[in-house]
Amino acid sequence: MGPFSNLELVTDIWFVVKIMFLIGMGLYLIFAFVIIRQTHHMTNTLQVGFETPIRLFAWLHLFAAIGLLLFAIFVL
Amino acid sequence: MPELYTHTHKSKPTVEHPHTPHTHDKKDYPVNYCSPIASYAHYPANVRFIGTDEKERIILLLRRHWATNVNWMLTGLVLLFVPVPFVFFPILNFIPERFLVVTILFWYLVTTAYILEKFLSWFFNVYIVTDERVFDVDFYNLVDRDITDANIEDIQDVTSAIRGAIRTSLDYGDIFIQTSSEVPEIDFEGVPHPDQVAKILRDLRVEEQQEKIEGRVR
Repeated sequence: MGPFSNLELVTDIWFVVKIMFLIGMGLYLIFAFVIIRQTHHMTNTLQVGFETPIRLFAWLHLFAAIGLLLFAIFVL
Repeated sequence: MPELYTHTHKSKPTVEHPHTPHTHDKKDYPVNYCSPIASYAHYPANVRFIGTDEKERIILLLRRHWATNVNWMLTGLVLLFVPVPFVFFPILNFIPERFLVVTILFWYLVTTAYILEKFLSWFFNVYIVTDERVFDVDFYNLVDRDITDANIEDIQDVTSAIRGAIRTSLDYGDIFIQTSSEVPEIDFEGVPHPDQVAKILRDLRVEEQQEKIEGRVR
């Protein structure tokens, strides 16, 4: 392996983009967790009989975020 | 206005017991089974709020009128169609297909979160009138919550305002409640039937004063 192999790897623009994507999605995953906490907090404050669909939707959003992060790790 | 978003006492309520205004027994109030996403619910059934006492009865549950949601709904719709040109037209041919797929999926995830956040903000920012107090519940962002309340007996003045052609035709507006409590004013913004709400608040004040005179204050 020549001394320039690593340099080529670092300068590969798409590798940098991939890292940026993964960091962005990791941060988004934290945001998705916050939404779960938020909906829990909100539905504890006010209950009108629509809590289950709201919580379900928030959980689906979290699972979609996890799924997309895994997809990005394997595909990119 | 779609029936789903509003539930006035014009529609047929399920009245369990006749309304007798001078008692605080829960069984003496009518009960309306209304849509959970109604922006105007009079005597709503199955509503539980963290701030109310056990004996306190919720008389009005108000949200901003559905028309106030049009802006974010249209924005959400536009956001859904943003990736379409990139799929059908070769504008971004230089980007590898796998990056394009992930970007589009991520875009839809962010759009979903935007719509969810806007809906939650509308759904949980409510105004509640009970037989004892008025509440203004505000969720400012993801984690901050404010609950402001004032006793009915502390209400000094109730003003309703409908300004503009759209608000007049759809019958929604603002209510300003001046109080003598620590919070000098509680505002209900963009609620349906403001005149009706103001009348209910005035009736409750009279009822509360009557109870005070008769020594039936809790």
